[in-house]
Amino acid sequence: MFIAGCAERIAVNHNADHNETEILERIVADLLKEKAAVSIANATHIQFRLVFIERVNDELVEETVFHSRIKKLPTVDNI
Amino acid sequence: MTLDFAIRITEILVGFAFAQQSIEHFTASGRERVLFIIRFVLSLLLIIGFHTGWVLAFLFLIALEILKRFQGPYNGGADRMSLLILCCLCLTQVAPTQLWKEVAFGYLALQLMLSYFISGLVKVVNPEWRNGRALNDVFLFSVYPASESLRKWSNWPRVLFLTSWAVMIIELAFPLALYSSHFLVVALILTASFHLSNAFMLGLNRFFWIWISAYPSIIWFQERIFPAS
Repeated sequence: MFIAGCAERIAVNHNADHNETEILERIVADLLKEKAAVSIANATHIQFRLVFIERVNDELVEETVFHSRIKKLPTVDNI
Repeated sequence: MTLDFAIRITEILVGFAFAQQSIEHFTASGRERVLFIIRFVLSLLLIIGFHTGWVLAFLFLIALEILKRFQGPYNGGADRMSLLILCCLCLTQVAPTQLWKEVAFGYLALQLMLSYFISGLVKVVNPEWRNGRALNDVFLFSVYPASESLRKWSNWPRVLFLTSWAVMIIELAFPLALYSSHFLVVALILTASFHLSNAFMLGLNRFFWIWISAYPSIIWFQERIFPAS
């Protein structure tokens, strides 16, 4: 719910920097918990995007509303 | 239920709810973890009834700090209700007379009633809720952590249509339950079941514990407004 709240605040451009940092920090923390799983073992940086889904008549329409800044990941040695 | 007993039960329930919320932050880093460990300890003190007035005051200060830290309520509606209950409990402590104490606690009961009624009103004026599509979309693509098997409920539009109307009717009819203590018990069982199902299906566990914490206020309020009914 908190992450969803951050995403909504970014979408309406309310304190976007703060909310972007909150989401990035949580993604990094989750990745570190996985101890550099195979899928991210070679990744050096991360970036997230916000995709909002809206129903327009009978269709679900996706819109990418935000790309975050690119953040350097801690090296595997530091995990 | 006497006013003092209802307030005490509320303090205990909200203490458990705050403790549970605080534990979620124990794995956070730095200042956030310290803040919530203090909140956890204060919640335990609230449960055992140790200097309740001071404990509530410190919990209020911590709530302000949490608002500042997260730039608003951390977890949406559940944290707004947490703040509301905390404020009302603080007001009962500083109320100069018994009447003002009742006003502070009665305000919590009214807000609880409105939380259901307004929620039902917002839904029923929305055609997407009336035809069941809104709930269908909740299961189909909402951000709530619903399992893949639950998301398949979106393939059952008639069930979701009936569920939508059941939710709206319960929420809109909730104020009528104040007329009788028996009706109120039934209404609270239904709404608690609604929160419990949301906790299991959509991961909204905070809502269940904190809304339950406000139930003693409305039980007391009903007896106060309609005695022996």
